[in-house]
Formats: sequence, C-alpha cells, structure tokens
Amino acid sequence: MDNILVWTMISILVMVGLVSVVGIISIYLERKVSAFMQDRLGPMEVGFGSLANAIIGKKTFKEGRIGLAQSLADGLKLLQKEDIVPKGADVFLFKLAPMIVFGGTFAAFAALPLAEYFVPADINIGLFYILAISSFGVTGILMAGWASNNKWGLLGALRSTAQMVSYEIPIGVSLISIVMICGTLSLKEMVLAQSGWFWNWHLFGAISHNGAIGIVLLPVMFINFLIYFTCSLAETNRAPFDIPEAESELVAGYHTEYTGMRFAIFFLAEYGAIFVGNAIAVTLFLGGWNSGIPMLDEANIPGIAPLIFITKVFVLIFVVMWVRWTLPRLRVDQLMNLCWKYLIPFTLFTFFYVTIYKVFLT
Amino acid sequence: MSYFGNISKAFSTIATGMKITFRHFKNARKPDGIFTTQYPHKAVPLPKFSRQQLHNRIEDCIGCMKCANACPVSCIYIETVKAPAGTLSDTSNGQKRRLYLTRYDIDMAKCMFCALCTYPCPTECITINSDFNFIKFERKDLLYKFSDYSPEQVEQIKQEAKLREQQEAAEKIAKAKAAAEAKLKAETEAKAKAEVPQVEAKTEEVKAEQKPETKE
Amino acid sequence: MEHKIETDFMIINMGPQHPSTHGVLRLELKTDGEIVMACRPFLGYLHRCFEKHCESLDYLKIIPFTDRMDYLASMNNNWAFCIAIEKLMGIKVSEKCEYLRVIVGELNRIASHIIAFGTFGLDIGAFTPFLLAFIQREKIFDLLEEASGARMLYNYIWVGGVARDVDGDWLKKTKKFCQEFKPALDEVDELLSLNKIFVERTANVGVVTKEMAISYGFTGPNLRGSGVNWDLRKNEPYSLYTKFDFNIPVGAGEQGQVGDCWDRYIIRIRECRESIKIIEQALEGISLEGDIYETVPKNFNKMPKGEVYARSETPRGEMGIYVVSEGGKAPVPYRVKVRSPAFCSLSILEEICKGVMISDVIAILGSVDIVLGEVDR
Repeated sequence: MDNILVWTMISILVMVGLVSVVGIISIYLERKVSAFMQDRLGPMEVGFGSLANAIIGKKTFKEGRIGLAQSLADGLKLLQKEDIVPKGADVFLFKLAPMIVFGGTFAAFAALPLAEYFVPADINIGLFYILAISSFGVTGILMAGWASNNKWGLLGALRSTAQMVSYEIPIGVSLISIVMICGTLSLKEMVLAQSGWFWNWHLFGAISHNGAIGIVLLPVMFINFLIYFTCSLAETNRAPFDIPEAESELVAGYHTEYTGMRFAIFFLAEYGAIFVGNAIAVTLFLGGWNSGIPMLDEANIPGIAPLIFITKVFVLIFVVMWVRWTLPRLRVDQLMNLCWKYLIPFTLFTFFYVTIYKVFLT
Repeated sequence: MSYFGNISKAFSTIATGMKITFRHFKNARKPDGIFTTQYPHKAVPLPKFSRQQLHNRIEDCIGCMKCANACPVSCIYIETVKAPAGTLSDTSNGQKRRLYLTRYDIDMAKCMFCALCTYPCPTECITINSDFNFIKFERKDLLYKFSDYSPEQVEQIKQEAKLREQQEAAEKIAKAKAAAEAKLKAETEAKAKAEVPQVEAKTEEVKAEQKPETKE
Repeated sequence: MEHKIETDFMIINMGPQHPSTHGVLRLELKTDGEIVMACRPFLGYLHRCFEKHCESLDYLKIIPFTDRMDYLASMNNNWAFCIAIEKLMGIKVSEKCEYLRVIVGELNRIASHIIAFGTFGLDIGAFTPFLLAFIQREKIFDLLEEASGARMLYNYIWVGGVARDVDGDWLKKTKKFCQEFKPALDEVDELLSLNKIFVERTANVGVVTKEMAISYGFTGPNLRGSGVNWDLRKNEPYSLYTKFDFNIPVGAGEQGQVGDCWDRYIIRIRECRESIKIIEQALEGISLEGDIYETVPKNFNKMPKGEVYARSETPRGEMGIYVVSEGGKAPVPYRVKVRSPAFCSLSILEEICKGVMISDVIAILGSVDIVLGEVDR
C-alpha cells in the first residue's frame, strides 16, 4: 500500500516536469525535423554549454554543436520580452486566456497512464476526463481572440471554435468503440487489457478480449485509429488543419497580439496538447506502456515502462510533424466538409460494426 | 469525382508527398543532404567578380571625375586641388597625376552596387571587390574616405594652392601688364609707321589685340 | 422580450504588413464572416518615381534602376529596356551577346517562376516545396552572380551588349545546373501539384475566363493560364527566339475550369521546363569568340530624336517600354513609360475576389504573382 503511495507521489512530480520538458523537446524536434525535411540544418549554435557561457559571461564550457538548448534559450528570451497589452483590449480576459489554454492541457496530463504505478490521477473515468478537460482550452482560445481586439485574432478564434466543436464528434465516436470493447473508461485498465504480445493492441482488433475472433475488428480499428489521429491534428490546430493560426492568412490567428511569455505559454500549451492527443492514441490503440513483447515487460527493468510510453508518443509526434511539413492547409469550408461528410459517417459506420460485433459475436 | 474516389485520391497523393519529405529527412545525414551552411563558421566563397564593396587605390587616382559622373546615385564625392607639376608621382600605368585629391569619399549607404563607376576609370584605380562584410553601427561610418591626406594636410595644401594661385594671378597681372605695354608700344610704333601702307598696319593691330586674350 | 440582432460587414485591412501580400500591397476586404464581399487593392507603398527619375539620367544609368522594378526578374527588365533603346538607335547586337542574354534571361525566368510557385505553395500552407525549390533558385543565383557580379540586381544587359564576358567554365556549370534542375523540379511538382488538398484549394478558385483575361490586359503566364496561346517569344520573336524549339504551355483546366489558380500555377512549372530546353539549346549554339562590347555605344550623343515602344516577355508577362528621346549632347530621355504586367494582373483582383473566402483571396493573390516593385515602380 505504501509502495503505491510513493509511486503516485513520484509520478505526480514526473508529470509536472514532463509538461514543461515535453514542450521544449517537441519544439526542438519540430525545428530539427522540419529543417531536415527541407535540406536545412536547423538550430545548431546554442548548445547547453554555449547557453551556460552566455549566462555566466565567460567561456568555461564546451560550445554545443547541434543546438540542443535552442528552445530553452528561446524561452529565456521570451521571458525577458516586454509584456504588451494592446490598447482597447479587454485586459482581464486577455491575461486570463493563456492561463486557461495552458491549464486545460496541464490538467489533462494528470490522468495519463505512464506506467502501471505511474498514473498521477488514476480515475475510473480517465478517458472521459481527458476529453473533457482538453477541450476546455478552446474557451481560452476564444477569449484570446476576442479580448485582443484584433480582427485577425477574432477570425482565428472563431475558426478555432468551429473546428474544435465539430471535431469533438468523430473523436468521441471513434473512441467509444474502444470503450465498448474494454467495458471501462479507466485508461489504466485499458492499457492492462492490451498487455502481452503486440497483436493484443486495440489497433489490431480485440484479440486480448475475445481471442482469435477479435481479428474481425482489425479493419475498423485501423479506420478508427486514422480518424482519431486526423481529428487529434485538428483538435490541436496542426497542419493541415491549422486554419485558426494560418500564418499566411490570419497573420498568427488568435495569438496575433500576444508577446513574450504569454505567447510562449500558448506555444507550450500547443505542444502539450499534441502530446496529450498522441498519448491517448498510444494508450487506446498502441498498447500504452506495453512494449508488445511479453518477455521485455516481464523483465521488470526499472523505468522502462514510461520510457516505452514516451517513445511511442514521440514516434506519433514525429508523424504529426511529418504531416505538417508535407501538406498544404485546408480551407474552412473544406475542413467542415471533411469532418461532416467523411469522418463522421465513417466513425458511425465503425461504431455500428463494433456494436454488432459486441452483440452477436461475443 | 466520386465519394470514394476522393478518398483514395487524397490517400495516394498524401502518401506520395510524405514519401518525398521522408526521403529528404533520411538523406539529411548524407554529405550533400543539406544545402545550407553555418554561415560565420563556413562561408560559401563568392566569385571573384562579385560586386560588394567599392575600393579606390588612391595612389593611382588622377581625379578625373569620370567615376563621379558615371554614378547614377551620385555617391562619389571628389574634391581636387591643382598640384605644381612634378610634385606627384605617376600612376602605375604611366599616367601623369596633376591634382591633389583632398577629398575622395564614397558613400556606401547610397551606393547601389551597379559598378558603373568602375568601367570608365582610365587608371583602373576604382574597383569593386567581393568583401561583403562591412557592417557598421553608425550610418556615418559608411562614408568611406580614401583620401590619404589628413585634414591639416588638406588645409595646408589648400593654403599653398591659394598662395600659388595668388602668385600666379600676380604673375598673370604682371604678364598682362607687360602685354598691355607691349601693345601700347606696338600701337605707338604703328602710329609712327602710319605712312606705311594701311593693310600692313591693320594686320599688326589684330595680332597685338589677340595676344593678351590667348594668355588668359 | 425581443432582441433585435443587427449584423454588419467587417472591414479588414490585409496588408501592407501582412505576410502574404507579397510586399506592401494593401487590400481592403469587406467581409461577411469568412466571405469576402468586396476587395479593393491600394497601391503606391513602394512608389519610387522610376519614370520621373529616368528623365534626369543618362541611358546607361537607367539600367540599374530598371533592376529595381521587378526585382525578381531583373535580367528581363534590363533586357526589355535595352531592346527599346537599341531599336531607337538602330544597334544590331552581336550573336554572342544575344545568346548570353537568352541564357541569363531564361535562368532568371526560372528563378522568378520558382518564387511564384514556391510562395504560392506557401500561401496555401505548404512550406517544404517552397524551400526545396529555393535550393534551385540559390544555384541559379550563384550562376548569375558569377556572370554579372550580383545576385539579384544584375545591371548585366547593357545597351548594345552585356556587362561582362563569361568563360567556358561558366557554360559548363550552367549545363550541369540544367541537368540537376530537371529532377528537382519534378520532385516539387510531384510533392505539390497533384496533392489533393492543394488541388481542392486552387482548382475552381479565382477563375479568369479568356475574355476577362484579355479585357483586363493579362499577359504572360496568367493569360496563358486562361487558355490564350500568346507568348511574345513565339508570336513576336525578338532576340534569337526564332532559333529555339520550345512549346508554350497553355492552361486547359485539367483539375477544374480553365483559368483557375491551379492552371496559372501549373503553367509556371511547365514554363520552367521549357526554359531549361531553351537554355540547353542556347548553350549548344553559343560560341565564346567575339567582343561583347563591340556594339556598346561609348556615349549616347548619337541618340536620334524620336520615340520608341518595345515589348518583351518577362516572367510576369509583357513588359512594354516607351521612351521619348530628344537627342542632343549628353542626352537624357524626355519621357519613359513602363507598361507593367503585374499592374494589369493586379487590377483583376476587385472583380474575381467577390464572394470568395478569405483564404481564397490569398490563393488568388498568390496565383497572379505580382511584384510590388513593378506595380508601383
């Protein structure tokens, strides 16, 4: 009993660190991945050594060679920037907005199951909680766009709201299929159900629940996964669905007027949201902290479970970036078309398929 | 296009695009996978004729003003003072230098890097070179001064020139006086020779009148 | 209780500091939510009195100023101006110079088209094709820098000749570039042109019909995108263009209607291929013997009195140069007037941007490929 308490405490601390570290690492990764895809070098100058040298003002440490500390230095720079509140802005809402956006993402981290004893808040409605709390951020975005008294900001905020509200539906329906198979909303139990060989993952059907017959769910689960992944791109305002902050159309969308640390918070929240979105995908479809090879899981190497989990999430984050640097952006009406005419019918189809499976085949 | 046709088209074209970007991502580790360089550490060499900065070899400049006249934006400022013959050395291609260059300034802030000034130069002393790194913190620092005289020297040269000018003017006056006297003399002589046929006298008169004018 | 809800149009200023107005254009959009009800372009933020300036400058000194009109295709501007002056003075330029002009002109056309379709992709939201294409543009600039000494504002084509001779090494490098460019262009083409999202965004958007294009004075790729087969290099050949074998790509409405943004985009990619063809033929035809300054006039004292209008095909369309000369000693033109292709292309914005979405305005603006330096002059 004591053991579990200690582990919970540790996992809470880890999560607190994770939120900020994930943001910084993702930003660095994004810059490097985009650079390599475009035959560029990306950040190269600011290593940890050079950053330390710049802070103490002496050349004591070895200079970095691949720019690992670039996002950290950027954060430090943004901290020092002037905090501008535009004239005519609603000051209270303007200042509140980034906190709400960040708060929504941060709260969602609490329920992520990193490992069996690494769940900071192991609530039995974990999935429901994460979906609810992470879409809380849209309130902040709407606030930011409205309060900054900027027409581009307002347009961006409205686009964002319309987009998020629409894409909640396919996300919800596609995840319900998994909930039906597992019969629980607790993320931890969902992951536990996927332990063992990798074909037990929900991506490949419901083999762990119903044995070999579960394989008939393989195609719909693939579709579900693709739909969930697409929608999570839209939920987190990533390309090709980044119309709320489309830099060539709306300047910067809802955060046009934000500077300094407030802007940095939006930025961190965005990457935090990407992490949460992909963490759900990993938890529900890709076996969570399970490596997919039972021998490895049973070896009980300390710390390997969260490592596997985070690695999986970052592989998905890489795909998110890969998509972003390949595809152009959709238009607002096309975005809605995609959601209502393509994604929702398909999720409904998979939903009925799983229902029929559940009723007649098990 | 049909509903499912749309979907398959979307998937296939997105896959092609992602294949290409992934190929670039994979090739980034190869030596020619990355196109950019880390500039201050590794610069791409510029061609020899790259037009970046104007330079004037002042020891070869004869102050002919051809470059200043060729400049479309008038960014070359030249002031010259006449030098006594023989005081200045010849240029490297054997032209005589007859002028002190008290001012030869090029305003690189105004310059449009067209290099039109380098073509008419008779001694090829104004050149445009490929040294691109001439960042300055003050705008006035972009005014490049090529004249090798210090302000004091310029002052001295100007005064000397003034003195010389005065001397020359004095000499000129003296010469003019002498000429006038000569003319007077000639006239009196002509008068004395009034008996001599008039045609001859007239030609003499014309000559005498022309003399002082040509000297000026 | 009854609520009376009043709605109103929102006036949005797009530019002059907007990321995708390609310079300092200001568009006043009257929008109803996302729908643009009216769009009015405002020009003049980059007006530098080019035409008035010319009236106080020697003919040779005007050439560096023409660089600054369409700063993405300076070579073609130089060329257009020189064609006008040569026509007035009756200078016949040597074949070597003409070959050099064709090579650098077409290289510059490719560089300009790369910007056009690259930034068009950027406006639509695709970042990578833009940078992949820019690698090739850098290579072109390296070549042009070696030939002329500058990367963007060349001042290379002079009245009666060119400013600097090239060597065999340069020709070899150019040949090598042509070889490398083809697969690189294919890659960008593959990455962007047929992408479903890109086609959705550009096809059937901003349709300019044949009649509209002609009545608005469209020229260049924009006109050809609307399905009119008109290229001065073919229809009114100047320089050596009769010698080369190349095609004029014409928009056919492959993904939507004729004259939509996609057509205008694909024309530019296809024109790059044709330009490469021309360069390869020119590289075979050129001989390095001969003096490039042979027909360059020492001064313009022999400038006859009269006026001249000459036009040539720049990457943005038909650039016309009208010069009135008074002759005399140390002559300056009495009047210079430039017919700017980008200005004419811009004028259509008001008509085709009615009832489209804000994102479409960006797409249309990117597809007509304007350069504000040329619009305002």
